[in-house]
Amino acid sequence: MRAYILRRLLQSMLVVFVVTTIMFFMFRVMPADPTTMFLEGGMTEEARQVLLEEWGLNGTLWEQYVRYMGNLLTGDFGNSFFYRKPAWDVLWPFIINTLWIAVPGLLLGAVIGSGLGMIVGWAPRGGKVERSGILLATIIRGAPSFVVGIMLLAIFSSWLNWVPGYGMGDPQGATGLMRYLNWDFAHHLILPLCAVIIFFIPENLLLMRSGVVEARTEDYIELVRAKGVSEGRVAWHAGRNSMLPLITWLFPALAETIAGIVVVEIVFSWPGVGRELVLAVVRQDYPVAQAAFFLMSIMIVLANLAADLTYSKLDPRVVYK
Amino acid sequence: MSMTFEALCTSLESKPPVRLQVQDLSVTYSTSKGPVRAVSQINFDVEPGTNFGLVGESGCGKSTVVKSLMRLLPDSAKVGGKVLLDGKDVLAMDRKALAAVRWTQIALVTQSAMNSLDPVFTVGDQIVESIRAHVDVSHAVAWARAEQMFAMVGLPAERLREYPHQFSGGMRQRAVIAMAFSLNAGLLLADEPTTALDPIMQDQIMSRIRDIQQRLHRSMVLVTHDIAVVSETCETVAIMYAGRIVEMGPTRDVLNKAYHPYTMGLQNAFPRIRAKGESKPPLISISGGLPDLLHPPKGCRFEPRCPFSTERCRAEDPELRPVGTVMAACHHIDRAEEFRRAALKAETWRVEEDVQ
Ligand SMILES: Nc1ncnc2c1ncn2[C@@H]1O[C@H](COP(=O)(O)OP(=O)(O)O)[C@@H](O)[C@H]1O
Ligand code: SF4
Ligand SMILES: [Mg+2]
Repeated sequence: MRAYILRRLLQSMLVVFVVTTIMFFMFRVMPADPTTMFLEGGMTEEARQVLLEEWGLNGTLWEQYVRYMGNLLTGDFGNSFFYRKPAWDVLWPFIINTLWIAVPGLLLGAVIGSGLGMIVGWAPRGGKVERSGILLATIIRGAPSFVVGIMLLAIFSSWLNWVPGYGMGDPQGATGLMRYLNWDFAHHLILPLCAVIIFFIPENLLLMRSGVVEARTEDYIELVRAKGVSEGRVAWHAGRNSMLPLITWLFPALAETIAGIVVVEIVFSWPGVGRELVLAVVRQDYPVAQAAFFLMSIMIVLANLAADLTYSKLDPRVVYK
Repeated sequence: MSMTFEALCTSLESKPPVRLQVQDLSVTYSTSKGPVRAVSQINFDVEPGTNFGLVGESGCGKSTVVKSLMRLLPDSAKVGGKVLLDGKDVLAMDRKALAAVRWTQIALVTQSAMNSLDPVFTVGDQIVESIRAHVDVSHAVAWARAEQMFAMVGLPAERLREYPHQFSGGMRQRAVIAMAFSLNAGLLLADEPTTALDPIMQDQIMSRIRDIQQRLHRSMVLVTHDIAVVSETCETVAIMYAGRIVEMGPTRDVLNKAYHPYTMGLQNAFPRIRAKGESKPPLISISGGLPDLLHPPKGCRFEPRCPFSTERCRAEDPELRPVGTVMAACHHIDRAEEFRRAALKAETWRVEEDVQ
């Protein structure tokens, strides 16, 4: 088991290395010299060279690459062209903001989605519950991801005026954790959070349902029922077995989910890392974009690893060598 | 205050065997092609402490009967009639009463050794679950009971901590049997408990079940298509064909002096116990297959395959009626003597294929 984890970690590092390399070259071969964008006209060639050096854009492409990777190892992502400060310092507040909607959003989405999936899967085949469950999931999944967000905005913000529809609110001088632990923040958080949850429900629901539908005809489910346990307990056996396919899908799907979260951040003007990434690409602020991609690739490989390990915990038949 | 292990065992050991009376049991599956009448108005009794054999070829409705006795059929199945357990009708019970009789009064050993245990729970936990669903005992006491049951089927107690995939097929089936006896239910339903296993394992498991049944004095419904197993195990036997019981009675009488041509044919398909010096008769199988239950024949359901069929057989469905010590559903039971002699000959069955 330990050897397996070690091997997987090495593989993961290789993946991150390759992704980082590709990102590096992708941004460098893009046309346009960033200095031209940020430089006031009339800058001397000398001043320009100084700036290029500061940004790590001097020397051959190969030299730039080696320097970039070396710095990365020491945790230095380079300086943002746009903010003129270290990319990491730029990113981390946005990351925290994203985590506020992503983590509870994904967790609640998974729990609510698979819970509903269990109910829908357990309901009589072809009945009302099954049909409306599947219909709802298909509609949400089929709709473009911004539609749900915009509908939430239209209903709860514009029409009912229950919650604000823009941004994260004003911390009003609060610092540290207190920035987040106040009513105003929660008020702003609720709508984008709901959008993430809703975005995440359908896949969970459909996967859990098909797992349960499959499991309910298994012989072992019949025997569990024969034992005279409660119907909820029988459903639990089916659900517990259906979690296996769900887990294999859930963690790798985080990658896809990032796209959904970006959309939510943009629709709700939530200052998260996804929205910032899009802005960074538009601004040709490569260090920030590269840093964001780097963090994402780490997150995705870790998610895959977590999927494997959770799977082995849930399914005793899986042995890693 | 939950029970001690000793109290649990004492209370379980004093349980009497159950009397089962099945009256006019019918099961119809609704399918996309129409209603399939898998079981038509069957009647039988299992006396307390006896073994009842249900025999017939695959698809004749044996599992459907067994499942309906525990109300395990899918929603697509409509069940009619009565299933009386010591006089109480299982089919009329509410959810709570039903859950209470399951496993305490009727336990089940299913057909597939491989898939009848949940792969993601330990075998021990699954046995414990069956116990704690019905009696107020601690996990430790239930576990001790599971160990006792494992010892009874010849499995080492440590293996309770393992998962089903770590067991061989034979061991899994023994574990399922251990679970079936966990609450010493008065009636055991065993649906082809050995078909999924290799022949040597089949004999072992069957004699294990027989031993336990004898020792604990339980009632049992044993489903099989193996006549030899029935003759060794069951006091009474019913032969099923296309959802009907076509012959039923004391096992020895049914097998020695069959009245229904289908019973005669079935016996030909199995090696029979014969007197010393008697030559080995060829195994003859009955040609053809079960009738389509979507459109069952109007007359006798066995008619299309019966070598003795007549005009009357095509027109009229024969009823099960008493003849000697048994009951048979054939229009021509008066000619049974003659049929029995003819049935021994392969050419009677219009078949040339010799199974051996
Ligand atoms: N869930 C079901 N839906 C529709 N038909 C079924 C179902 N289960 C069994 N049947 C049909 O009922 C008949 C009897 O099946 P079964 O009881 O399994 O027979 P056996 O156990 O004797 O092999 C078969 O014709 C089978 O096709
Ligand atoms: S009733 Fe006729 S067809 Fe049916 S078993 Fe008897 S002889 Fe054969
Ligand atoms: Mg069967």
